[in-house]
Amino acid sequence: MRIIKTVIQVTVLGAVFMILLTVSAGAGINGISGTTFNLTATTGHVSTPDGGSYLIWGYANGAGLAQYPGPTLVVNQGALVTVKLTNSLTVAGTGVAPNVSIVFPGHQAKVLPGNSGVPGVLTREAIPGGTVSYQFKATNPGTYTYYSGTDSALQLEMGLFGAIIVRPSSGSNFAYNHQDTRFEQEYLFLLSEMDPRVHQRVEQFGPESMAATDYLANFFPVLWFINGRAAPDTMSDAGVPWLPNQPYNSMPRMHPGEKLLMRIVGGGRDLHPFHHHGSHSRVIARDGRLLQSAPGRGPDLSHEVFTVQSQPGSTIDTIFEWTGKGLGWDIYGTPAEGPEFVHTCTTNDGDDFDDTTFEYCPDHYQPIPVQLPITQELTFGGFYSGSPFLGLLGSLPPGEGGLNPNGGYTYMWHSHTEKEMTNYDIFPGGMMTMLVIEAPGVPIP
Amino acid sequence: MKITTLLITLRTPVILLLVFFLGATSASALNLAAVEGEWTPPDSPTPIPMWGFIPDPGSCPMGPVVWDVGPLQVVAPGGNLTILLRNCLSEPVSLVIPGQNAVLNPVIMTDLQGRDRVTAFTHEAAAAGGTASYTWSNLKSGTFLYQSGSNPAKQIHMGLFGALTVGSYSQVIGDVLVLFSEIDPALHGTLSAATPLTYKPKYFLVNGKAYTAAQPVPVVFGGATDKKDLLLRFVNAGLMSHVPVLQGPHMKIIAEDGNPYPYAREQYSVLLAAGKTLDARWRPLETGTYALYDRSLSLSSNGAPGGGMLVYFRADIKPFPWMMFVPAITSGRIRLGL
Repeated sequence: MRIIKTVIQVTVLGAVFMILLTVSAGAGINGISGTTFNLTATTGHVSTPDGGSYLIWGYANGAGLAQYPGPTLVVNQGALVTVKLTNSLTVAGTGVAPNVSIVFPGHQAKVLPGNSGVPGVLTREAIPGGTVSYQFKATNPGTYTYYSGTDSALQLEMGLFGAIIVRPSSGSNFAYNHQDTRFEQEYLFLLSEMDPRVHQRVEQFGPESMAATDYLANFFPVLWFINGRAAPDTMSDAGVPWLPNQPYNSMPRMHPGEKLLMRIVGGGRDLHPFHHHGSHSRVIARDGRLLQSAPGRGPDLSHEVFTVQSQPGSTIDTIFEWTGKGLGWDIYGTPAEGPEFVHTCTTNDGDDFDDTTFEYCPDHYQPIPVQLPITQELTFGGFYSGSPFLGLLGSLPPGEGGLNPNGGYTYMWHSHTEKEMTNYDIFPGGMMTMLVIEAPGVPIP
Repeated sequence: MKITTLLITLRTPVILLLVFFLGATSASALNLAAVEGEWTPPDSPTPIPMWGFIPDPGSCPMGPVVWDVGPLQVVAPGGNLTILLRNCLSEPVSLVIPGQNAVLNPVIMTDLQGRDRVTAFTHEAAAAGGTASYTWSNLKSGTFLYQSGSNPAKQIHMGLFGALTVGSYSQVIGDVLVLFSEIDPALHGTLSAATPLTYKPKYFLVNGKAYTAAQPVPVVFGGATDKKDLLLRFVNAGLMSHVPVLQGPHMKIIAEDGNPYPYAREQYSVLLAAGKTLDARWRPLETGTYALYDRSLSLSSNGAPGGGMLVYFRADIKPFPWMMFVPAITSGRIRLGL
């Protein structure tokens, strides 16, 4: 199979590129797993691509740095999960730090008798320097969230929120306990927004000074984030050293024909219509519950969308698939392009797709229906590989391209509230990232 | 704190029961008045001018009444509903119920350019004491919002709204209205200057009350719930979307805008857009206090943190079913009719 050889060549070349690039991919869902978690509410600063730096209050993993958002807690269905929260917040102004807490919507959390904190309006809280321990049973698989139940309008804006993933007993490549929720790739999209006035005021004058403003009621965000980063930082690797308080990235990658599970969490207080180019996706669950007509039926009430309506505090699971079906041209090119484009399309499982390359065989050797312009007539984006064909790199002028080292197809995924694709009024940025359809054989970690 | 709250909420069921028996035979004719009111915010002794619907006292009140959301209208499905409206305000008022059948007679004025402009969705009760009669036929079951159909951008925000529930759900231990609204005091001072263009609400209300951090959290339900569902009727009379989150077992959302879903939707949160109604069944599993709050974080009161749209349910799980006859305490508005 010629195409496989090409793909391998491209992959090797890609690996070289990866080392050189500042924008590169880290895949999957980063987080911490287990049954016991030690979270610490503490302060840090987020960086935004427009040069901004803002005080946050974040949950840290143990003695680690504050994270925006907090650590993604990955647990197994049926586990008895214990979360011990330590309040290490320090504040300006009066110097009296607030209480903090955690609520676990969709889970029936209790506090442990030996470490029950003090009463609050939504749950029991940790006083400054104190601790509180929560415990819940992860009865149902799915995507969930956690956040501060103390003065939530302020503390969520400051960054005290995160995601929880409960792996079903069926296995880690299932979203729920049903065959129709199986996936090959999964990514978290924890959406949030920020009103810098709040952060600047809290940094300079402390949280008590909020009462002298109307910022909490008259909220006006100008920064938008996926997993705590604003584009283009969304596409940098997870854990890069220059974003110490924003360890998670958002760089979805998949191969043709795979199922990609999108776990979408509304972390802020606004609605975010999350629009994914490339294909529709199928919404299978909301708030950690399958959209099903009766237990055991699977997602029989699922439906397709191209914009996921993310709501504050709620979660949505949706399965995205991409194939070349219906394009009307061969994504691997035709022999007219050159001898290296000779390839076959063989399906033994009767699904019309090549069993290895996932080419859509009815379009085999159909030419791309445009005359490709010569290089001198093009302007370039960082994601153009120089070739319209999957897994191939074409020649590019010096300094062009480079963000797509494996010759994948890239699709923008972003908030459809278009103003949320900015960083403090600078386009593009904000709640945006790119999906990369990688050629078969390109490793996705 | 808890005892005081319960004593206050106890008054409502007494009135409710009285109305229950008095109104048991009358289902279709109700009298309302649109009047000036005042709402005293939790952080200031200075009342905010409001407009509101009240049970018609027979003549216009001499001064502003204590504002509350309009009385909850409870009627049986299938029949007709007639509301006689007395308008004690300084401008014409009308009455519409989105989702229910009525013959609408829009009021049209001709502007300075000679264009026809609709100023009210249906016929109006004239200002300063005028009356008008409104009839809805073949009432549909569910939860609805009644509101002014005249200059609604201004009059609804001024407080001219209330909830209508038609019919009842079987096998529920309590029927709880959760009505969201907002107040921007800046639009209430001088009515002629009020414009929704600058709408920036400062107070966030559930059932006409705004919680503040200095006060006990309002309790919308307290009582026995063992082995039965509570029915939650979410209504948004505000101008903004809200996202109620119930901190407890998932709710089963069963109807939207008075339309039953073919299958219940199991969620702990719901998007409640402006003008929307949603009905949910919910069953607490353990004795305890369960918070319901707006996850779009309208959780401040005049800028001060820790207030706004937050209420409690207090569920009491009785170990023996024969203790179940203890009547549930449901806070809400005075009910008219059945």
